[in-house]
Amino acid sequence: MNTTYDTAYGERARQEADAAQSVRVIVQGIFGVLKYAAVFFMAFIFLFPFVWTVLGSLKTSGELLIVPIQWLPKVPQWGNYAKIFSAMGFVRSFGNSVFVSGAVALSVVFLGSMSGFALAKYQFAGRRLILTFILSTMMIPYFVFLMPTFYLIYRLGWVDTYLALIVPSMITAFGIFFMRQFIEANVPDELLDAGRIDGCSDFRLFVNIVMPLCKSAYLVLGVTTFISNWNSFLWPLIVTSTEEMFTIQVLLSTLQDSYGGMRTRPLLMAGTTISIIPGLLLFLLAQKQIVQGISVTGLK
Amino acid sequence: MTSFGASTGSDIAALAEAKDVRGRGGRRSKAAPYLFLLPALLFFSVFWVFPFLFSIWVSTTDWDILGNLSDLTYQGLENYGKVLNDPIFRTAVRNTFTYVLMDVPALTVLGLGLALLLKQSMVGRGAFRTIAFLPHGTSAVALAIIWKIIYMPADSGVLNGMLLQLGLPTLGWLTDPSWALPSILIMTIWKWTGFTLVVFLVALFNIPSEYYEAARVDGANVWHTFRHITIPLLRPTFLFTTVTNTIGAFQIFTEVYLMTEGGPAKATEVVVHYMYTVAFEWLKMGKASAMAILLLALILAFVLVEMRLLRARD
Repeated sequence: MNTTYDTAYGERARQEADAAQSVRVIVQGIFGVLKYAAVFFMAFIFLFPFVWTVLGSLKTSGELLIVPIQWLPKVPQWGNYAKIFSAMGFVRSFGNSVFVSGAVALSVVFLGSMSGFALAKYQFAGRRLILTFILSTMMIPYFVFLMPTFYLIYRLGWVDTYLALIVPSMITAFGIFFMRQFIEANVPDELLDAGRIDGCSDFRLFVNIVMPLCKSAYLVLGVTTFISNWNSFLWPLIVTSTEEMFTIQVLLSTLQDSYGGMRTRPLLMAGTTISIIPGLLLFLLAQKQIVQGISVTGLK
Repeated sequence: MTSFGASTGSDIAALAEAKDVRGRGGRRSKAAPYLFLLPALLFFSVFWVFPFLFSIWVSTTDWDILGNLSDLTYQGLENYGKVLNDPIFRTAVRNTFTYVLMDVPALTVLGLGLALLLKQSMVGRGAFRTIAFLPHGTSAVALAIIWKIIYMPADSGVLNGMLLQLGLPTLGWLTDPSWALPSILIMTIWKWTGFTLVVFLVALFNIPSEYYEAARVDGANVWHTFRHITIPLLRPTFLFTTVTNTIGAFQIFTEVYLMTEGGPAKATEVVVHYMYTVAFEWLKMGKASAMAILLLALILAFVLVEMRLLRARD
């Protein structure tokens, strides 16, 4: 159309614009490639120790030690898993951990929401003080309590019992705070008033009205509590002394001594793999909520 | 009853009051919150107030766990003097400081860097975030065992195997005194980066995109927007990750206990591990309690400085 005005100069300008455009596309393309390269590298770094462990658990001890590295087992040694399951105490301590973490999770959820309910929905003298007190317990690191609490457990005669593993973790300040925030936002006052008019006692209000409304919060708090107790090590290490009472983490730490040698290393890797699975499965299931929890506590 | 009367009509309140009196007595609502809180208050008294005060008290005595509490001799601040003059404790403090001062900045830089990377539009972002977050859901014991196997000396560890295949010399990761602490550092940075990343990622997504668009209209480049929008708005996040990571780093125990036991030649001895050894292997509880109180003071001082620095320019 405008051919008459389409001088050599205009043609050059257009060519330059085209060139600039394609440079931009190329630069963007390079950035895109670099971006994914960086992300895949990151994923490799984070996954490698896990993958190496799972692969190692299926190798023979010879395959694990060969240089150049043999990445895949020639024949997967599923027998390693059978052997570790029949190893002394493995099943028992796995069961101990399930029982202890489960009991602690139930207790943290129930007692946490009971205290949280009181702090969220009642006005009473000392409310502020109690809340501050409970929150302040979160600020002191565990190692300060380690020796006196052990002494207490020792004097109570609870060393090497389930009580020692469960009771000191039965309530957490985080659990109370978390449930208080949830109940304040999600349990309508009208419902509680209606319950009172119907003659519900305060405890029945809690059990029949508050608890059913807390299901989603219970799930999140219960799962995170279970995971952190499944993974906890120092306290069980201190209060258990016989293999029957070991939690899975304590047993694993002793397996390192008995199976850490070169010839039994695949067995140690199999045991480690099994010990990771329950916590990690729950972690993956609740990941979204855990992230939300972090953003709530972290960013106020 | 007060909250009840406030939230609904007084006639309903009166009705309920009547029911109250007739049914279970009018005082029940006043006692209820205290009854609900009773288990928690008892619990925190027994497992928090008591141990805390007890710790401070026994740190001034020659307590060991086997002795009777009535036989304790008061020693004033003798334990603190002993601890401060203990060469192993000094080494442990120095190592812990080195560890914290390397760990916390590294986590901040890597966490923020990877969060900025994952904030770009890309396929599979959620999966990558999950992968980086995996170590956070895994026990310290399992990870210590895994990394100890990876770090195995000579050609029996996979890391040295890879170095060999690249034609590089192998390293005594956990056996060489100058490499042991850095090796533990690498492992714990690997473990905690995902947590820091997730916190930063949440915060980045909370910054309204209009800010960036407005800046771009005004001709700001990527660096400008990062420097003048992202960094200032992330200040609370910096504070949170720094304080959380600092408190966590000061308490490193499991990795040292399982991977090096403080060795070689005390190169990885850290305060909590040494405290554990003094308390539960040597049974010198008084001395260990003094160490606990000193470490607590150290952490508090450190965190207060960090809060000062990071809150400064409000």
